[in-house]
This record gives sequence, structure tokens and C-alpha cells, in this order.
Amino acid sequence: MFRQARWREPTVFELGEIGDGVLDGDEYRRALKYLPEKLVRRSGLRIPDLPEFQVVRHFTRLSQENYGVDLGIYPLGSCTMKYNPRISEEVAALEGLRDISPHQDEEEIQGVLEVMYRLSRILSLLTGMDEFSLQPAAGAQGEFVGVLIMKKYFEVRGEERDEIIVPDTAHGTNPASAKMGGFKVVEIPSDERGMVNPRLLREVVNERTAGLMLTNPNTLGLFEENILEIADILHENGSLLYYDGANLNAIVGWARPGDMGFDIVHTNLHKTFSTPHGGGGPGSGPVGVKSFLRDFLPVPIVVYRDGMYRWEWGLKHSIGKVHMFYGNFLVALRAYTYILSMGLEGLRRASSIAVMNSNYLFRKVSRLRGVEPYPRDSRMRMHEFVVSLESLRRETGVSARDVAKRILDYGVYAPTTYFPIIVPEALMVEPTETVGKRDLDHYASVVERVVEEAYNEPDKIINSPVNTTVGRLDEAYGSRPRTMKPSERWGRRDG
Amino acid sequence: MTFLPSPSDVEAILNELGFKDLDSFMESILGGFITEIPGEDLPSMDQPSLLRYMEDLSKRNRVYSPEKVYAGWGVEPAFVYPATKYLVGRGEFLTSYTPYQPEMSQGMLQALYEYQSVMAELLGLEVVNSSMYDGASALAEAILLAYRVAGRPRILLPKTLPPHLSRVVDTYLYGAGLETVNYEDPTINSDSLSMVESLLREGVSALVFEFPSSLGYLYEDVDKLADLVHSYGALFIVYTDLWSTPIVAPPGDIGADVAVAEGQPMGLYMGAGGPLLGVFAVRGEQRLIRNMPGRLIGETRTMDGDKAYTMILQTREQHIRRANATSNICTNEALSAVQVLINMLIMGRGGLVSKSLEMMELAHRLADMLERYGGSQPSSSPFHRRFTMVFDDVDLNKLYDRLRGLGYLPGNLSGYGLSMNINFFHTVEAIEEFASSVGVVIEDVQTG
Repeated sequence: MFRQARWREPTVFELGEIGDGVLDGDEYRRALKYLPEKLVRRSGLRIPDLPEFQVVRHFTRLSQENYGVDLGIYPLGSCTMKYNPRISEEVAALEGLRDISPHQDEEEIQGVLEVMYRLSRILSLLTGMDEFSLQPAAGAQGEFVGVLIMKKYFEVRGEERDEIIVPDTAHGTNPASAKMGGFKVVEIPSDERGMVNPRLLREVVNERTAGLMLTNPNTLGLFEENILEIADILHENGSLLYYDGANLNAIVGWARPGDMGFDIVHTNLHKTFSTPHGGGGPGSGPVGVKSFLRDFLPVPIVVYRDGMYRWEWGLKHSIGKVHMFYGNFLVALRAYTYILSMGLEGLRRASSIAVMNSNYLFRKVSRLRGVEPYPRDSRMRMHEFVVSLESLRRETGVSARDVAKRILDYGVYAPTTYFPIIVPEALMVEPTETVGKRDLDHYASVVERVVEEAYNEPDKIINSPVNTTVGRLDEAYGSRPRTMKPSERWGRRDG
Repeated sequence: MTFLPSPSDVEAILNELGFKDLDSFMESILGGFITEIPGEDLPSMDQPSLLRYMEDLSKRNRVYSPEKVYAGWGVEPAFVYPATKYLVGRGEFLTSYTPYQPEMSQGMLQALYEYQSVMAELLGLEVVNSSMYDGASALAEAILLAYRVAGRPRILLPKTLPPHLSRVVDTYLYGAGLETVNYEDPTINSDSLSMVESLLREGVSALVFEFPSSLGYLYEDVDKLADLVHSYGALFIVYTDLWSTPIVAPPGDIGADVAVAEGQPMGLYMGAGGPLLGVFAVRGEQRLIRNMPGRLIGETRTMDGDKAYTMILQTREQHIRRANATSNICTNEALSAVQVLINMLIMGRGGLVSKSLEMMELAHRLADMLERYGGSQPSSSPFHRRFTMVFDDVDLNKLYDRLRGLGYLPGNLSGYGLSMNINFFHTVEAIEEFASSVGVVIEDVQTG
């Protein structure tokens, strides 16, 4: 029987005595020696002074109230929560890579530049692109870079194109990134097979279309089989095709976006290449382009010339910089380590097992009572799949959200819920390759048990979870202006 | 293939799916899209040889002693306590993700709530999000927030804003189609206030102010500047140095609507420049909070009335609001935030204040010593732990290179001089040694 740690751990602010936090006499006098009185801090600094053992106990307890890949399956769709090898952590802790200042000259950091250069070459090889920038700090920033490349490209060509097309199954970041680039977002509906329909696409593509942002396989876990025709439609119109690499884990080593006609891609190193997600980040979202767009990449990129790795700053149409320095190097380093340990054969095997695991779980879950595959067919899925619990909800009153909460009670994480937004009562499941048959069988049996409970004891589900650190949250409460509390300082206006 | 399931598992599942091997399985889905990728150059390496390769590679980088580094724009040597390193390495934190199921992710949520709260104390503002990518993109997003709130497509930026910030701001504003106008920093040019006022009169969404500036200086009449900005309906965005905040008036005390900073100096490795930590804070006003980018953690309650934590105000975010979200950010730097939180808690309030005082004292001591070698500063404003110098008849590039030859990373160069930054590791002995090295080099450069 699973039961998550429940320490009822107070906040650090309750662990020790905190006074008003203002500077005491001695501190104030020392500050006044070099600062005019009006520039000395007045408001209290209410941070506790705790012995180190108390800090360690506090965060050890908090860690026990948290679930991660190290504890078991974490099947969030499109998030690729796979095992994070410890060798990557070991490498990222090597002083000669970790303690390098970004202010050092290139001849002093040849090892760093070699990692960046080689990783860029490998990413080009795996995606079929010609040049990469490692600067974007996450997938969404990669998308932003891609969108700006489109913007600059048409500006240089003297074409006025202000629309970007995204399918209705797209990740929310796609339309948000397009908007940040100053584009109008045109959404196209997926067809009954869950795909971008070339006929519908032709209807919306026009002289204002800068490009299409597409995930392939898409968020329904389906390979966009008309991708070549889609690419033709855009290219005939002079538009560009952007690849959202969130789902690259399904095809890496087997098929390449570059061969499908994509002009710009981003990859998520924290997904496909196994760097830890850290509770929400850091990640890394390198962007690759075909050679005709090389001059638009963020600067600098790494080149190898005259026996030395160098920064190249002089890209003629560069969109500029998106990061203070060169991106999340220590994340890129972990990804490089992972890739070298797998080798191309290992990467191929990994992605095919990810797809295999997904289909195995799909078969088991989609035949459960009240659960239907989305779209409603038994086609092979790729690394993830989506089911709808609409029937279950109609028949029992139990929602996808309720089911997800009850799944937690069995000691495993829940899938993504209510996404893609076109699927009613959606569960989006991505088991990844780093779970075995027993894990999958167990997960399927948990979902099965929960679904049975929905029919027999719906109250049990609606009142779940009960075995987690806390019971079901009243989430709206924390977001209402009158009851929200985003920090300890909130509402304390005495300074 | 140690990171993958056993061959017998794979075989059993393939059997159930009706395939004899992974090749035929993938072919049945991808068919003609399968490409032969040349893999000779990418064999797999076992862990011992991989580690050896990486160790060799790491030796091809020069590692500076942290007390010999005076460069400090954005990233500097920071001490990471062993306990911090241990705690953020715990798999429950390291291998989790955005807490979409808060009931099972309370540990991360509470840690991020505590991060927001500790950062709110430092900055003197009530609302801090749970992280942006870095200080530069945080600054850019602060400007985008100001535009959403104030609606005027023009922004005022200080002329002294260094490239690691300004180039990123330019990129983000290019996307949004906003225009920037530069003003003279009042710590460099005392006439700047009248110029600022005439620019404000033309209508702007925000004025970005560095306090302290990247050159190091603290503008004494910063409160008047804030009032001036507010009187024209614009937002006052302050980019700050977190190490100054324990003793110098923090953004909240000087009228900031939005405060942004780079969090790395409080406890992240330099990592050749990343990952970093973008700190983003606003005053506790609903119109600012509703327009904030990024994830925000808040206290809430369970259905049974127990205290708990969750992501709040998610309707601002891309996964709900899509094209109308306040930002596209999804993955952020959560673990960097937790690392900085733990590191700061180990120091505690007392440690933060005394370190901040010590840095200020060392910086002034160093400035005094360097002035004896003919150093002069471009500003007479007060400074905290960073200052800028030029030396009579000395080519700064030459000085910089010579000092580098002596094992120093001597600072950041700009048109205003050499900016030097006191970091966590500096001691009286270290700066005395540095000053005398500067003295020797200067004499050499002047005579030679």
C-alpha cells in the first residue's frame, strides 16, 4: 500500500525565530560608512538564521514529499519523463567544465567549445539540419527564436507576412511564441483522423502566411503521414515549416525532420536527450536550420577553423541574442554525455522502445470500460497516446481529473489531463522507453482499477487522492485576489 | 544498453503487438520515412571511457581561482555549500517536473514558494515568480509586461546597459515591435534627469533603471527618479544586484514596480554561462500580477481545509491561454531557484548581511588602493561591491591581457573603463595581492 511522506513540514519561516529583520546598530553603522543614509536598506529582511542541520532536514523532508522519475513511471504526455543517467550529473560536476566563466576567451575554453561544436554536429545529423544554435534555454525559447527567424527572413526578402498557422492540437507554447514574435495566429482544425489535412491547409495558406508550426508526431501521438504534401504546400507558397521538437523522442535515429521538409527545428535536450527536468527546469532548446537560414541564427555559434574552436559573431542577418551568454551549457553537456553513452544504435533502440511501450499501454488502456482512444481507431500510435474519458464521465460522473487524482493513490504519477484541448476528458500518456513490462502492466492495472471504482464506488474517486502528502486541493482558492498568498511578505505592508 | 529495459521485456511486448523485431515494428508505422543515418561516428561509449574522455576534455579549459576573478557582469564565482549541492542532487527534486499534480508534488511546490518568499524579502516586493531563464530575458519580459500594462510602444533604457543585457532586450523587443530610446545614466551624467523628463513627456511604457548600475554606481536620488517616472504613468523597472540588497535599499524601497535580477551569484555554478536564474518580481498590485509572465506558486488549501501549495493564476499561462498568454515560457529554471534558496538559507539573514557588508568594504579598500596607482572613476556616486576605473596613460586592453597572464580575470571592459566586482571568495589578502599586481603591470605598461 502506497503512502507518500506526510511530514506537515512548516515553512522555513516557522522553523526559527525571525525578528523584524531590520539592520541592527552595528550593521547600520558599517553600512553608513560607504552609503548615504537614504540608500541604506530600511525594510526588514525576514529570512531565518538556521543551523545547517535544520536546513538539511527541512529539504530532505520536502524531497520526500515529492515524486520524481527516480521513484517510478511519470507518464506526462509530450514531457518525455525518462530516466536521467547519473553519469551525466558526474560529468556536469567536473570542475574543468562546471567552474568556467563565460567571460573567458575562446582559447581558454576549447573543451567547452568542443562540446558545443560536437553536440551541434550531432543534432544536425539526427535532425537532418545544417546548423544549430545552443543558445535557447528551453523549448519555448527555441520556438521564439524560430519565429523571429521567420520574421527576419521575410523582412530581408521584403515580403510582408504576418500570419503563422498552428494546428488545434499544438502545444500552447506554439501560438504563444508566434504572438511574441508579433504574428497573428491562425488555428486550423485537425481532421477526423487527428491530422493536419492538406485540403484544409490549402484553404488557409495565403500570401500573408509566414509559416506553419508543427509537432511530428503530433500531440495525439500520430505521425503526420501527409507531411511531404504539407511541406510542399507551404514551400510552393514561399512559406516556412517549423518543427516543434517536443516529440522528437518518437523518431530519433529513424526519421529526420530535415528530410520531411522542415526548415527550422527546435529540440528539447531535457526530453529527448534525458537531462533532468528539475521540478520545471532548467532545460535547453537548441534551434537548427537549413543552410539558407544559417545567417539568421542567434550569435555566436561555434565553428572550427585553423585547428581551433571559435565563436562566430558575424552572421549577417542574425536575430540577435536570447541568452546572457551561450545558453544552458551544463544541460547541453549532460545531453552530450547521454548521446555518447547511447551511441546512434542506442538512440534508435531507445526511441523504438518508447514507441513500443506506448502502443502496449495504449492497447491495454484504450479497451477499458468508459475509455476510448482518440481518435477512435486502433491505428498504431507513436511515443504517446491520447484517450478520452467522455463516456466514463457520462456514465459515472467521474471526470478525467478525478481519475488522474485517484491514480496518484496507487503510487504512480498521472498522465497529462485535458490536453490536447480538442479532446474531451483527455488523458495524454507517454510512458517513455525507461520503464519495463512490469511497470507498464502495473500502470495498466492501476488505470483499470480506477475505472472500475468509477463505476462501483465513484465517491472514492471524487474524494481522492488520500494517500498523497495532501488531499485534493481547492486550487481556485489560491488564485482569488482575496485569498491568494504568493509569498510570506504578501499582505505585510509594514515594510 | 543499461538505460533501457531488458531484451526479454522487449521481446515479450513485441510478441504481444505481433512483431518480430523493433525494425519491422518501426517500419510498420514510419514506412518510407525511415532514413539511414550514417552512424560510424557515433558509437556508444561505456561509462569508464566516457568519464575519462570528459575528464580529458575538462582539462582543456582554464579554471581561474575564484578569488582571482573580478569579472562580474551577470555571472561570477559563487560558493555552493556542500549541503546545497547534496540537497538539489536528491532525485525527488532533480527528476521531477512542473508540479501538474500538486497533491503528489508538495515538496517542490513548497520549496518554490519558499524561494519566492525569500526573494521577496531580499527585493522588498511581494510577488516573485518561480523563475525565468536568466536575468536578461527576465528584463526583456519585464518590459513586455510594462507594455501590456501601459500600452505605449516606447521604452527608455540606460546608455550604460551592458551588452549581455541589451542584446537580449533588443531581440525580445524586435519580436514585439517596440522601440527603445537611450538615456544617460544619472550617475555618469548629472544633467540626465531633464533629458529623461523630456523623453517621458513623449509617452513611454517604462523606464529601465540599473540599481546599482553595471558600472557599479548607486544613484542617490533614485526615489525622485521613480516619482518622475510614475508621474508620467510609466512603470519603473529596476535591474538590481542581489548581493547589494541585504544592506542597500532594495527595489521595493525605491519605488520599483517591477524588479529583475540574475540569481546566479547567490549560489549557482558558472557553467560557462548557464543554466542561470532569472529573478522576476512585482509590487503586490493586481494589474501587475495578472500580467506577469511565468509560473507562480501560492499557498492554498485542501478540500478539508489543510494548508497546501499549488501553481496559481495559471490562466495567464500558455497552456491555458495560448496566443493570449502573458508569455510563452513553460520550462523555466526551477531547480536553479531551489539551489539558490537553499544556499541563501544556509547563510541565513545574518550571513547575507555580513557578506554584503564585507563585499562593500573590500570593494572600497580595493578602489582606494587602485586610486594610488592613478586610477579614477567615471562617477562620484556611492557604490556597493562593484566600481569602474580608468588609469592615466594606460591602455586598458593591455592591462587586461597582462593581468590575465598573471592568472586574473580582471573585470569587464567597456567604454567607461574596467569594471571590477567583488565576489564571495575575495579576502583582504586576495585584493591586496591583486592591487599590487595591477600596480606592477601599470608601471610596466607606462614605462614600456
